[in-house]
Order: sequence, then C-alpha cells, then structure tokens
Amino acid sequence: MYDTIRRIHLYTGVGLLAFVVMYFFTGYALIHGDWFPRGEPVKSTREEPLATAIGASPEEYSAVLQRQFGLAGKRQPPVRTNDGGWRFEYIHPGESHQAVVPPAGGTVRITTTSQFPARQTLVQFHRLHRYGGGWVYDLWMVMYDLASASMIVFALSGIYLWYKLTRRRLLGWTLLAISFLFTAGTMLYLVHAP
Amino acid sequence: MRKWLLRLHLYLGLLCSGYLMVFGVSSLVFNHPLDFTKPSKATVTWERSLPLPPINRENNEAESEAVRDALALMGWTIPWETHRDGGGDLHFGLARPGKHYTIHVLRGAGAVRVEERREGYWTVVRSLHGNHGVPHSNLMTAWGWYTEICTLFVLFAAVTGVYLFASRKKDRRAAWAVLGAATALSLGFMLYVRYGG
Repeated sequence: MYDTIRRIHLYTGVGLLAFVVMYFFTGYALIHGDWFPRGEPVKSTREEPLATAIGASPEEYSAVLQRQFGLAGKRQPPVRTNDGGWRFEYIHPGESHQAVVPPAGGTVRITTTSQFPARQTLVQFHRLHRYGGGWVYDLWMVMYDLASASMIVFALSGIYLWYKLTRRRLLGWTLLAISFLFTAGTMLYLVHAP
Repeated sequence: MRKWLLRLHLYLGLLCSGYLMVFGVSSLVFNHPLDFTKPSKATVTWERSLPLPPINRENNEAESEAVRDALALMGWTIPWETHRDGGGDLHFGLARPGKHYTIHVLRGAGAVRVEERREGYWTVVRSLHGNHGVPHSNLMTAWGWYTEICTLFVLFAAVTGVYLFASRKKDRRAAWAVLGAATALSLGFMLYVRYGG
C-alpha cells in the first residue's frame, strides 16, 4: 500500500509538473501584478464582407467566422448586442479577437488585440476556464482539471506517506492541525462573521 | 542534503495541506460552476445606531471606508455601487468573501441600514483561492501570508520532488521518462495555445 500511494504521489507529480508549475507561476503574476512592467496592448480593426449562414445557431456561426477569418482562440459564448446584432469573441493567451456583426448582416467588424504585456499574457493562461470553445481548449480544461485534482491527491497521499514514514509524529500532527484548523476556521469565520 | 530536503518537503507539505485541498476544490469549482456552487441570494436587513463619521462630500470612498470601519465590517467598498441621494446621505456597496452588503447611511436617524447578502460556503471556497488579503481584516491578512507560503512551497516541492526521486534508485528511470515526456508535451501544448490556438 505504501509503495502504491508513493507511486501515485510521484507519478501525479512528474506527470503534471509543467501544468502545476505554470498555474502557480501565473497565479503569482496575478497576485503580484505590480512586480511586472506595465504596458498597453496593440489594437487593430478591419471590416470584412460576410456571407449569411442560414439556419446556423449563434454558436455554430461563431465557429464559421473563426474558420473563415482565421481567428485563433477559445470561442466565448456569443452575446446579443443592444442593437440586435451579435458579438463573438475569441481569446487565447497573448491575443484576442472580437467580431461584431450588425443586425442587417453583410459585414463583420473584427478588432484584434495583441502584444499584451507579459503579465497579462501570464494571467490569460491562468484564467482559461470552462469547457467549450474548441477541442484544443477542451483538452486544456482536462489538463486544468487534472492539475486541480492533483492538489487534493498530493495533500492526501502526502499525509499518508508522512504517517507511514515517520515514527515520531508530534511535529507532523501539530502542522496538520495548524493547517486544517486555520483553513476551516477561516471558512467558518467568513460564512458566519458579521 | 537529501534528508533535509525530504523533511522540508514533508513538513511544509503538511503545513500547506489544508490550503492545497481548498485550492484544488476551488479550481475545480471555477471550471465546473454547478448550480449548487453558485452564490446563495439569502438576504438579511439590519439597522444599527452608532456615531457616524463626518460627512465627506468630496470623497465618497473615504466616507464609505469610515462607515465600514465604524460598523466593524471588512471588505472592499464598490465605487460603481456608490451614490449620494438628494438629502446627502451616502449609499454604497461593500464586498468581502462570503458576503455582499448594501449600506445606507441615514444621518437624520443617526443610523445605518445594511442589506446583507449571505453567499454561502462555495463562494467562500472560491474566494479563498489565491486571496491575499481583505481590507480591515487581520485574519485575511494572515490568509494572504498563508497564500504566499503555500504558493512558494508548491514551486519548492516541484523542485525538491524531482531531486528526491532522482536521488533514489527505485522508480528513477520510469519517473524521468514520465517527467521528460509529460513536460515536453505540456510545454509544446502551451506554446501551441499561445501562438497557434
């Protein structure tokens, strides 16, 4: 049993190391934004003629636009604009595209934002959430889920390994108590405190 | 050297284990916002008479923060939920992990009326993810330090974890093979998402 748990801890770690390190490094950039140089991204806009896609749902149309105009990125849920048109967005770290189709159709205005400062690109990696938007991003979400679940696996398997590895456990129990009591106490406080 | 790195990996890991559990669960919730994890809309309204801080028409934010502190609440005042009514009374929103308040300063009555929305445990779990402090809260400042320690620990654990398996014969080859292949594929995937996706 010890060997099995040890291998789970080991192979989860080496298998997901790149993603786990990426998430913690980009998370650090998220909470310490002032450590990184500031800058403004570059925007460009173009108008293109547009053929209609009769019978296509907004989500299908988003995919059509993406293919037709080479708009790389994770497709976001289409949004109806106030004037009755549609706004389609495609986001990936380092670049985003917004395609706006007026109610009458016929043209599309595409705004591309690129050359984000380094910190923003790192944060965009960190904030890629939710399935949908293309198979590449569904695969990314699988890796995201695995990296998230690995935190729980590391904690639980690590506790088991410590328990089996050590005979004098007072320090370990103390550290575990501090960790879980502080975490649980903070949660309870935030839910119940005024 | 190996003995000390193992001890640090082990004991810092135990110290961070509670945080990592919350981290893992909150990350999964971000990716899977199921209905039962959404904020509750339960609202409670209460009033309190108290000495009000001086009115500050020039600086709504400063007055909001002074009222927050007088109420012994914690959180961020919300500029886009702040306005002054015709009588000069301030109304503002206040947010903190787990609760949202709409606060009405009633100078004529010498009181404050608070609409408190209690968002529930799942919102708190999400809010603790990477939280590095909440205004007017020593506890959350401590949580912010805990976030720093645990974030740095995970990066340290990644490095020491590799050292620990590499310095032992058992599973070394297989672990290097998995590490090499997985890291190459992962980095390639990240580059594809960045430049081609």
